[in-house]
Amino acid sequence: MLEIDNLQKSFGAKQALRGLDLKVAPGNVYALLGPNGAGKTTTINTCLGFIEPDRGKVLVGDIDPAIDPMDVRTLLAYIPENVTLYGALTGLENLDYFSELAGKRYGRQDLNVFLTRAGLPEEAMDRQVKTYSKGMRQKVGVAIALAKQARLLLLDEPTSGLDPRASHEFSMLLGELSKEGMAILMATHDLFRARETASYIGIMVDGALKAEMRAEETTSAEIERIYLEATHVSQ
Amino acid sequence: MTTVAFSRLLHKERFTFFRDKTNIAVLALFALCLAVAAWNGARNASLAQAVTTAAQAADANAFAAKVTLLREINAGEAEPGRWNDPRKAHQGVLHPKRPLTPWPAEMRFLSAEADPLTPTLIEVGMATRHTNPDPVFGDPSQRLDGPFDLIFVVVWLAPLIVILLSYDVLARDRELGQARILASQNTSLRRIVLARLTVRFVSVVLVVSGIVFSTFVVLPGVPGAGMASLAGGAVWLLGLLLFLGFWFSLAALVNARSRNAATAGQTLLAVWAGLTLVLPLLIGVGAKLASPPIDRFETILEYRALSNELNHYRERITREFFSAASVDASREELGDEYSQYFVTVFYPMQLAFDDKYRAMGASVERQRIKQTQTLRIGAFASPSLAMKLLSDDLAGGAPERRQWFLHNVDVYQDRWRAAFDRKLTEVLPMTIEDYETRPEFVSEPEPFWGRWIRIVGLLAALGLAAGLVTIVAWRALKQAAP
Repeated sequence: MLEIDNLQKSFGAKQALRGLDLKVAPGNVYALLGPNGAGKTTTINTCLGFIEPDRGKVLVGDIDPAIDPMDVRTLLAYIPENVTLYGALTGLENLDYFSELAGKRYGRQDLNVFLTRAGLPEEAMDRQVKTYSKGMRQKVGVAIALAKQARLLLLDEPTSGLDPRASHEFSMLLGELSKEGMAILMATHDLFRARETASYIGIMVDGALKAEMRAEETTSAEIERIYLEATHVSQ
Repeated sequence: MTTVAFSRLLHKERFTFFRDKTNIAVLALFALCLAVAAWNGARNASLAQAVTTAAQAADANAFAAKVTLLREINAGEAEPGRWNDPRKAHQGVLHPKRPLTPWPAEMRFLSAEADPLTPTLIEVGMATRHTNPDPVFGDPSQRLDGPFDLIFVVVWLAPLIVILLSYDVLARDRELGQARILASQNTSLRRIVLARLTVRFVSVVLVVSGIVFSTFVVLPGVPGAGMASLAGGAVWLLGLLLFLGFWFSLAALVNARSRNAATAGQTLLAVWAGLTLVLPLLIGVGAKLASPPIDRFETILEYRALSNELNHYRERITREFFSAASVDASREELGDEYSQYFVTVFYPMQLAFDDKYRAMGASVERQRIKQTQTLRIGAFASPSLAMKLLSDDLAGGAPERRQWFLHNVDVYQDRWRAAFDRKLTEVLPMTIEDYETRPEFVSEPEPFWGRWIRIVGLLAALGLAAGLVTIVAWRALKQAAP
């Protein structure tokens, strides 16, 4: 679903991506670990078509976001670290608004289903979003992705700032989505959550993958050791 | 690719806009300001109209009374009084002043100034100096402040309302990271910003035009010029659309470039201060340098000097006047000393004075027009100044209108003098027919082309500013990063 081939990108003298190769198949969750400045967000921005690579290629399905960014956006959904939404609107209205922007029109019942699926309590749906916790806003973000019927989900530090329960619920939800065939690329600092949620884990340092492993074949301690070694070498 | 129709997007943005109570509060506050300003202007216009109507009624009654008395005297039913003898021309037509009013301004109620440059009413007789070197202007800062009227609210406050409503249409989303979610949908940021600003633009235009045109229709006694008022209203509305369009486009441009809402707001406020305060002030200085304003004090001194000079030569003036009129000024028919004074001294002196003073008065008017023309050129650099001058013009505050009215007054005064000059200087008795066929003043509108060329010029200034900023903003939004 997502193929990244020899991706390179520089911002002035700073080389953000140095020949990144990565694949996420449908039904897989790929956790991209790495320190700040490793190039995780630049990778996601390139997949979204927000920035054009200097060299290399990204394919979402068969579409290159650098060539057809608007077409690519019909296939993917994006959830950032902070889903702020519009505070004056309710969760339901926010979902309706973003669904319209995505070219989808749903009735109230359908919107309810998406929000329920994302784990938002029924009583919260008609409350203004400014009263929501961060976890609840993240759930609306997931509902937006569900309503969009995206085939690829891009997540940038999605569990940052969530309490353990909310993080766990979020991981469970991602697991369910991947079982339904959604491809998920998740940039995160959370080693434990990456191990719990992902099918594959990539450790990214200085714009390139230093290590890649199947999550089920390794332990959290092992991941931590590899991560520390990779980042230590770079420092 | 599935994209949302723009009408659907507008519908959603309208819903989102009005769910925010702050937006509703800002619009309500703006509507309140407009309503108070409209009330001030309409009340002022109504009062001016009432004064004019009363003066005209008093004038008609006074002449009707003279005719009645003259009929009774002729029929031997009444005796003429020493100070009330309608047969004597100096009492019947030399002293009375006729109330003359200019052609009504299309949108007088935009201004709450007592006399927006052109007097509402001038009282003119055979011997009246009607041109006074009153308000001198050339400095737009003097013209930009003033009473709380629609001109003030639209030129000063409306851009601030636009800024309040739209300073964060994209910058806030960008600051909160929301713009990335927006941009990841199937709708471009440019379309989203366009829809948001369109909703705000339409809201502000509806509030302004609703209140302004309610003033046209609802408030009683607001004088207008019939169909011309509608044309003026349409022109003003076009100017308003361009003016607001400029500020909304500027908001789009600033939002396309700003990383956070506070910076966007500060930038817009700085531009507002520059275009509404600083630039007009500089243009005003330029106008003063290009056409130095007539000094009121110097003009008064000049006026007095002229008066003294004429007094000094008054015997010669009287002699020359009656010599030219082939009338013997020493005739006994002139009556008592008062009658002699008004006929042989006062009237010739006024004619001699006017002969010299009209040129002086005309130069004041010309200078005022030159200053305003400089301001109109400067308006191409400041949409606020352009909107101010356009509104002033439609409210009756253009110096050309004043000049045209005073020219009509001069023409009328000459007609009045010509009609009764012989009766006065030859001391011939006034008849009922003289009174009944007295010349009446008919106010005429300004010549069409001169008037509309300057209006079109101001619209062009607004259109140019709005067009340029819109093009730049459109391009900037295309490249705007989330």
